[in-house]
Amino acid sequence: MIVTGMGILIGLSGFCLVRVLRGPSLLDRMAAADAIGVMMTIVLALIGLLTERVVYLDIAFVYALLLFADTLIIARFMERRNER
Amino acid sequence: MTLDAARHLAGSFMMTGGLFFCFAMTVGMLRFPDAYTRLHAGTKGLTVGAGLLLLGIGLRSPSLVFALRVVLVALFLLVTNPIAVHAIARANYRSERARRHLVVDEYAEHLDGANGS
Repeated sequence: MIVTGMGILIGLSGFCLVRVLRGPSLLDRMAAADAIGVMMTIVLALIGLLTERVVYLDIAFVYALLLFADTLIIARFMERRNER
Repeated sequence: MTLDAARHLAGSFMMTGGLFFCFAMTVGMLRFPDAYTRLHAGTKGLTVGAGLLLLGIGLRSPSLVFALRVVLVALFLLVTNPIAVHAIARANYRSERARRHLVVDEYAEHLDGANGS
């Protein structure tokens, strides 16, 4: 069950990678990359459940924190670049 | 023992629901025609999907420390994912290219009334 869920999530993030690669606008690429990041956070939590070690959840928390900061910084950068 | 089995079963059920929501999010991300609808699918499906999956993991967790950390990660994702997608949508709105296809744009009137730019 857990390994199947991990496989399904990794496959779905592969499909999101298609949207990252050929998204027409920057918005699509950033939204799909954010989706991939959240799914990888859940995959880290599933690895922690599989191995029954708590340290993977700390890694997942730090990953989610860095993903949030990353998305906010890229959005701010785009906004500032598009100002007239 | 039976309480443990019930907890396990409820966790598996919630994880299946979360996987379904993640699948629906991916279908929307691939098939929707417009950037804003894709963003809509991404944020709603992913918030509910991640919440359900992490709730299922927390129900199946082996110890109390594990469950508390899972709840921490789930709360963090539930708070930060809408904020991040909102920042993406706002940055996209501020750029000129994305605003050409809009039919109704009430936010621009609000902005014009606010600072006249």
